[in-house]
Amino acid sequence: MTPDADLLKLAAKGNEPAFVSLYQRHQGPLFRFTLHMSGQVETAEEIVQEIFLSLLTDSRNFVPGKGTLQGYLIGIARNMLRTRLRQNQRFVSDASEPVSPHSELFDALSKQQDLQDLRSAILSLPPNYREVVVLCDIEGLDYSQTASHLACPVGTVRSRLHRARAVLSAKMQKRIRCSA
Amino acid sequence: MNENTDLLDQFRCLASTQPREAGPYLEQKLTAAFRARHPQRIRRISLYTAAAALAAMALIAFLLYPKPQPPPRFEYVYSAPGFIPLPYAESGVPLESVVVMRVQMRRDQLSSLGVTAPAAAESAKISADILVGQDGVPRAVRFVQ
Repeated sequence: MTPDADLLKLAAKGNEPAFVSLYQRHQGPLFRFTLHMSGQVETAEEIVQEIFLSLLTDSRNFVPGKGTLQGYLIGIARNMLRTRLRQNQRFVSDASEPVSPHSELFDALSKQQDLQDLRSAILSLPPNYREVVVLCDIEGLDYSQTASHLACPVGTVRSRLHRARAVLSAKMQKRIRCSA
Repeated sequence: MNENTDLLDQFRCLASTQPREAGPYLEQKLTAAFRARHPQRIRRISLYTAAAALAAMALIAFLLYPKPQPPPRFEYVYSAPGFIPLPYAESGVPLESVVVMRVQMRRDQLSSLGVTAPAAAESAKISADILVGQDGVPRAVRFVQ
């Protein structure tokens, strides 16, 4: 597999297949990160688009020795999300929830409601807690990968994740008590 | 512990219900943006390719087609007995018709033509036949005994 840095150089020289390879390699994780951080498909796609457009205009900001391209792209995504968060104050969960084919069944509805509540609970977390939940618990990255992407120590990732899970558990328990 | 396990299960479930990738139209939009950004390069590359192809064709044509042979120069002069070709007279004009003129020349005048007079000729004037081409350029000289 061609290293990201080589593909980036080729893309900067006008090699379209190299650019497409980079996109196909990184758009998935980037999209999922931005989706879970923003709760909106449109926002996630807009940010992914902006990130790759910024790669087109200037890819020299990425220094291969300093980390992975994915970490660099996640870093750009975080900055863009923060800017949008400041503008919108709070992301609102997307209403276009995928409809289950058995949505008429009570348990399917209940399960969907649980997931909707979890999404809302995640979106209500402070961004630095939300990031570790998205990367570790939803994307399945390990602590060191997450720390590398977020440019912080592994210990910070652990502690943020511990607190974030505690907050989420409390929220979910509270919801169960309220609905009971 | 149980709460954490439930939560992790829910995370997994949440991940599986969400779209995994951006829509295919996004790749098309970005590819279009990429092409819009690099059109000149693509055009320049095709120009270079066309120029290289033309150069290659010209080279092949040059190598394959027989070159026109230059007309033999001084052949007429050499065939005439006793004539010495003048060193500066290679005018490039083929020799088609000639005129031979008998002249009396001094040794130094002969030297200025680049021809050394025979050692025997000690007299002040030397008789010589000058072979002049149709362009008026003297091509060769012959000493008259």
